[in-house]
Amino acid sequence: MTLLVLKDLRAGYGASDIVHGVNLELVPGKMIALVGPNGAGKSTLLKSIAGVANVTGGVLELDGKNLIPLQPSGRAQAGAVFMPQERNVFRTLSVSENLAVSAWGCRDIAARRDEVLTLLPTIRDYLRKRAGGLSGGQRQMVGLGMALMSRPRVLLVDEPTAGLSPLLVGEMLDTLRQLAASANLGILIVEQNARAALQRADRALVLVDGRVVRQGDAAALADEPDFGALFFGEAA
Amino acid sequence: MIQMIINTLASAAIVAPAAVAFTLVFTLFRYANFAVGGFVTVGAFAAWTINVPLGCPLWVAGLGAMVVCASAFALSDRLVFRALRGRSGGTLLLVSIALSFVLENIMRFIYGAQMKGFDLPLTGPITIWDVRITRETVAVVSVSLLAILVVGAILILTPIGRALRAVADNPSLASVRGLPVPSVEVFGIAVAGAMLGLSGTLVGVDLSIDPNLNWAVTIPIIAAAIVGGLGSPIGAAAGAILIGAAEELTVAFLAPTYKGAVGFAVIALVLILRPQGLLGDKVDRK
Repeated sequence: MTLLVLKDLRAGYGASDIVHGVNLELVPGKMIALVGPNGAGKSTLLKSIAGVANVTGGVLELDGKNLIPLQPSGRAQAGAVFMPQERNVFRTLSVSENLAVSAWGCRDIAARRDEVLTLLPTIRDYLRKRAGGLSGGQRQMVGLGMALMSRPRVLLVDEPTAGLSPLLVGEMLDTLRQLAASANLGILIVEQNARAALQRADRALVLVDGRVVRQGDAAALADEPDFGALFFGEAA
Repeated sequence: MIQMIINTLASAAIVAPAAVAFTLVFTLFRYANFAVGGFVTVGAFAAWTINVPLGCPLWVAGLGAMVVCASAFALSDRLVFRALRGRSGGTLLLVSIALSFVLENIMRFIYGAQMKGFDLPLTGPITIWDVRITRETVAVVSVSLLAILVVGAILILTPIGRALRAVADNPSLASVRGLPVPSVEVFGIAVAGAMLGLSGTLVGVDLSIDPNLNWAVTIPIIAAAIVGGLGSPIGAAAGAILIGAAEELTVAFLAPTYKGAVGFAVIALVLILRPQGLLGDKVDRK
């Protein structure tokens, strides 16, 4: 069963398109990595699914429901939950409050929090701390926990390892990989550490100048001899 | 000395709810709304209208003033400020000053320039160990304290309060987390408006009501919010006490004519010694 469908999706900011006709299908339990050079439109693609960037044409459906008319909050409530690269926690709220506020309108906040703490047990250690005082790795973990509080169908993760140490990069990507399987989530991830992401993802799309130039099995793509050239946009 | 503390608390109690309103609006939208004094004046006249011409008890008048001010404040946001979202804080500040003059003159047009007062029963002061406290002062301080505690409890303990703090912290993240940002903002504006209406009622208990109240209360309100630390409702209440104390000391040791300037002096001192205020966070400029 396909969760998220993109057909000929075009998106950007203002009048100009940055993403030009992307096709993609995401199924539950799978992780798709979006890789490519800086400025390829990877983050814009994620943001357009989340409603933060404008969709200017094409099809965008989650569980058969058209997401395009919905505001960002409506898309989150429909199950397409975005985890921004930066400023992904409410700094002035405690970690516990960050989790609670991310399940807006839900009556079973305690149960959801327990679920998240089971999936991401390290958060327990700093539940009462103010989110603004956490380290980069802890903040990313809380951001992920917040995204999970709404029991998403699809998780849109924008560079979750930005600013993390090499050890934490692997840990974060492993966590996402495990989440996709254990929570039966579809995950679409943009990641600068392309090889690390491809090692964990099921499929990958290489974007250059807003267009998909290569797609397929993630591990196979990483092994292609021209992968480096693709990643730096030379094979577009 | 004790008399001075009581006077300080009485004057802080009037300013504190409005300072909380000012800081709420600042944290939500990152601009200084100088029309707060105008809305306090609207609240005072609304309470007077319900209390004197309509003959209702003062507590009903106070609740009515809170509803009137919450509605008027939400309406001003809808008609004036929403269209200017994204403009600089300086632009919004100037617009709010203009709005303040408009409100003041609407009150002057409707009610005239004559001073007005609530219909309060005559009661003698309570004297405890040579300290005189009027029943009105006790009521004003108690109601103000209760209102601030209620707002604090809403912000900390309720889902809508948490949502309000989340929207104030990072509205775009709040939106992608599924929070209904516009509705949460309207709730915050309504709470702020209600607090301005309450301040208007309390100021009418202590002082006579006339359109010139506007600028007489604006400076102490903003001074209290800045001194307490923008973004902190509890800080705003603490700032109100500090401004009240400074005004009382000015009256006692200098001259009452300098009372109006004391707010500016305290703001300048705090900005030099502790720019984020007593209990405030450093805030991002927009």
